[in-house]
Amino acid sequence: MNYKIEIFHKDGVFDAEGEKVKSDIRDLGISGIKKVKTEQLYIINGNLTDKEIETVCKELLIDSVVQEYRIVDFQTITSHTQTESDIYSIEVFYKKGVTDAVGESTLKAIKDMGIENVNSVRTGRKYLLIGSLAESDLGKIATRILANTVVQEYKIS
Amino acid sequence: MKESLVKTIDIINTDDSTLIKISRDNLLALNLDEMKTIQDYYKKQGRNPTDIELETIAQTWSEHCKHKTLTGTINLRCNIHTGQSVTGYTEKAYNNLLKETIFRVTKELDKKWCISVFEDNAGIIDFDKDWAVAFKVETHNHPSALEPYGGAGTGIGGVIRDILGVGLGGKPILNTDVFCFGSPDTPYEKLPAGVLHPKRIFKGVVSGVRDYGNRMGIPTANGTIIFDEGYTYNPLVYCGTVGIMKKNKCFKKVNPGDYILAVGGRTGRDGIHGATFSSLALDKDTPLSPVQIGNPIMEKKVTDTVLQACERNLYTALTDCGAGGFSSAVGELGKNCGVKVYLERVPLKYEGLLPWEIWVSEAQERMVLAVPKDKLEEILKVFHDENVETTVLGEFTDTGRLEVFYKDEKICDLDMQFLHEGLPKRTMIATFQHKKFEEPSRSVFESSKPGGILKDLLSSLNICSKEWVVRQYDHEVQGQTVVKPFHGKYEGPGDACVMQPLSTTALKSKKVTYRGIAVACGINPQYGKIDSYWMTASAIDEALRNIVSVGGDPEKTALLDNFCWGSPNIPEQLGDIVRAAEACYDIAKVFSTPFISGKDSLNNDYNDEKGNRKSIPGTMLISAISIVQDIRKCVTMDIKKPGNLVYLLGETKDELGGSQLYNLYGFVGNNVPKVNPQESIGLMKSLHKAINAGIIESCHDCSEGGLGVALAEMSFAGGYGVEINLSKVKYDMRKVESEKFRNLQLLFSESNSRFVVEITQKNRKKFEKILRGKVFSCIGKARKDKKFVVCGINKKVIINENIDNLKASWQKPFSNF
Repeated sequence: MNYKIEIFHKDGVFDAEGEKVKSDIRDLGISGIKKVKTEQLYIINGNLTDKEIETVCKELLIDSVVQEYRIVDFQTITSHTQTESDIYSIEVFYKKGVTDAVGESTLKAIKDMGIENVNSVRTGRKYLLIGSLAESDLGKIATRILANTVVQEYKIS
Repeated sequence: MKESLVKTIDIINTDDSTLIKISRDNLLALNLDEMKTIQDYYKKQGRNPTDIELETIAQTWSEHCKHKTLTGTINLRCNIHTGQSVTGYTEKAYNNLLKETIFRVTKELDKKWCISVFEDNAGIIDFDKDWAVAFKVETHNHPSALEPYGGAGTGIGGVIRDILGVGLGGKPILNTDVFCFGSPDTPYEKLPAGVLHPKRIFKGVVSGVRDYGNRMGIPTANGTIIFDEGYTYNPLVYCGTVGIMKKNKCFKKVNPGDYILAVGGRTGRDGIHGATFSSLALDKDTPLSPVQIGNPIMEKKVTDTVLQACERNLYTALTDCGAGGFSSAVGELGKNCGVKVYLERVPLKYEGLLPWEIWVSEAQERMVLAVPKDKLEEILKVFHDENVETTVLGEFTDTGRLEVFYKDEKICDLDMQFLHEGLPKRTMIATFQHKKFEEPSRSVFESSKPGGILKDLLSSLNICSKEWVVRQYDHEVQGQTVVKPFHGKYEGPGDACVMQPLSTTALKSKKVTYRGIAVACGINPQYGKIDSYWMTASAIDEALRNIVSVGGDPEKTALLDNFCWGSPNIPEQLGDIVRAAEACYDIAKVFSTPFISGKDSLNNDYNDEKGNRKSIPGTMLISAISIVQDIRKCVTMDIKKPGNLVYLLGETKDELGGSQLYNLYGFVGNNVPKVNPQESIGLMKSLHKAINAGIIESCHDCSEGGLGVALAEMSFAGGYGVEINLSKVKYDMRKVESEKFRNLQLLFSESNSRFVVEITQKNRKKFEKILRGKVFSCIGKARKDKKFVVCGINKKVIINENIDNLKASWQKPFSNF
């Protein structure tokens, strides 16, 4: 089975990459973005117990001083609590067959923790764009800044 | 099922057009002549080739591996002009351009301190009694155009492996990088579909180099960035690595019977056809498979373990898997004996790769070693202990054949002789004629003040601070960087970096050595628009100037050439390439600086949807490496003390062609800076003597932006103003000009072989004695305050600026990037 894990900054921690993306979007001539939050995504394929997946998240994937995690059930769509403005999410993953070096290292690290029932790890980035945007601008942001469609695929929601 | 994995391709019964089609459909990048040579070979064998055999030949014969343009036959025709019309031409034929120019100069100079030149993965020169240094500069242009982050990262990764794979293995100690990009301000509307925006390429390339270099723990301490519209479709990414190795580890030898050991990363479908891909022009439909993704952590492990095995003499030869993957690496190592390879043993990233894909995949972080049978157990343990995967792929034989098996089936059986020597020579036509550009009218400059122009120049993309880039790189890791990218209390741009590679080793032996290496580069494509000969001459001069400026020994400096051009199939472009190669010979001969390694990338073309060809401006990068006898004598470029004298060495000429001043106003011009190699090297030797005598306080060469920019940079780096009198500048300018324009010429002409140096009043006599007979003059002195004051030829003040403002202008473009 697949576990999708989202790693995000704790409240009040400076998100440098988010700021960088925000300024890149501004450089594209697109206004209306108030904030950009970034998250690191892992999709772990294997048969892990709940306890094991929790250990992986806590001991390996997050820096507990500044980060938190959530394990996302694939069937349900994540609902964000923030409602004061629109939120768009863009997820970027490597295409199948493209080497995912971080994924490979993560896989090895999980096995080194003594957890054997794991088959593969994919990594990706999630960008939460907060503000008001035209639909067409989302595609522009995805292809011009966030994903290189030669090696990556993206999903807007 | 088994048959379906390896296809036989019918070529012996086909006509010419089908041969071309086979080459094109399979991305072999072979021309008709080459395909027919292959056809003949197989007709004699009485059979058709398998797909893997065709692929092997295509990889081995690729531009990337064989440099078939520069080693082919070239007929050059130069037009002779009388007035406006062409009245005749001269012809010259080259049998092998590289051999007759670049190799030739090295051979003729015959330096005893050159250990290995042009034969291995990198050039190797003497460092001291026991140690040698190796240097290689590669390009990774096509992959970086498609996937900047991965392309640039694997560019660095590849050249690091070149050093790891030179001789019996060098330890990488320094990375250099030079980039050429389109303008970051290019409007999106101007870009065709499929072309990434220059800003995105820029950011991606920088992060790729940063992440790979930093994670490998190798300092990146030298480089430059050039911006020109011509690189919008084809950016250039040059990556270089310097390594250090024991002198008794500089040569490899493969013995029949040795095992072929593959070490490092697993093989996937990454980067298939990279070698042949570099022979093709890009277009919208360029396929994705050539793109590679790097894994620096893996490469770090491979490097550490290979160096351990090297120390313990556990192998007799090695090379890296670069372009062409196993096919090139194994084929190259075994070319004088023979090999047997069993492909099913190769560990794969995922299932489903066809045998030929395994064979030519350019998956990263892999090395191939020749291991004597009795060392196998020990070497496997070295890698196993550090979690590096190894596979015995097969063995070297004495059959003179390249034999590849897949699950008991022989799928490739090629004669090594044919594979490596069978490539038919190309014959190409080159033409050359002098180009003429519009010369700006003097009124263009009328309304601008020299101080304003200076600030505009400092803010121009090719001169401004690249701190945003440099600060992302770790230039200190390994703790050997002596002269760093930024100099002075207030950080101005240095000319070259200096490393002290044996500091840690020396500590262990308690014998301190102050010997170091200086590494620098020279590049200026603006000049090449006018004349590639003088562009190359200038690049060599600039590289050597930079070396000398920091304290490198001009008499112990080796050069590397990197040609990047649009298309050698266009006779005018090939003519420029030939002229550039000629300059390499002419200038290096007089400078007495041998070339030790080089690389060309000749298909930097883009065909847009309408079929218009967009070529890059012909670009020559010259990299230089030099020995510094005593790093304590190295000099930086920042002004050190008020009251010190400022000298200009070398003659200023009417050479604004291709200058940044003209570029600022949208002109190219015609008076390209030339080089008088005798005078230049004479001056550099004297300057080196003065630096060794310890009487030079600071030194900076004049390059882009000329004297004006050099002075401003020295001034704001040290935090002291200067007062300069242009009437003291020694110049040779015949054409009568207005006073105002003459001042601009003196300030911004980019004449080569010039240095600005600072000395104390006390050392004045000593200095002038060392420089006797050379062109030089004292043009001013350093001030106590922050005023940058320049008086024109009529002694009137023409510039009066605060150095903080000058620095702010210099830092502006990338301050908030």
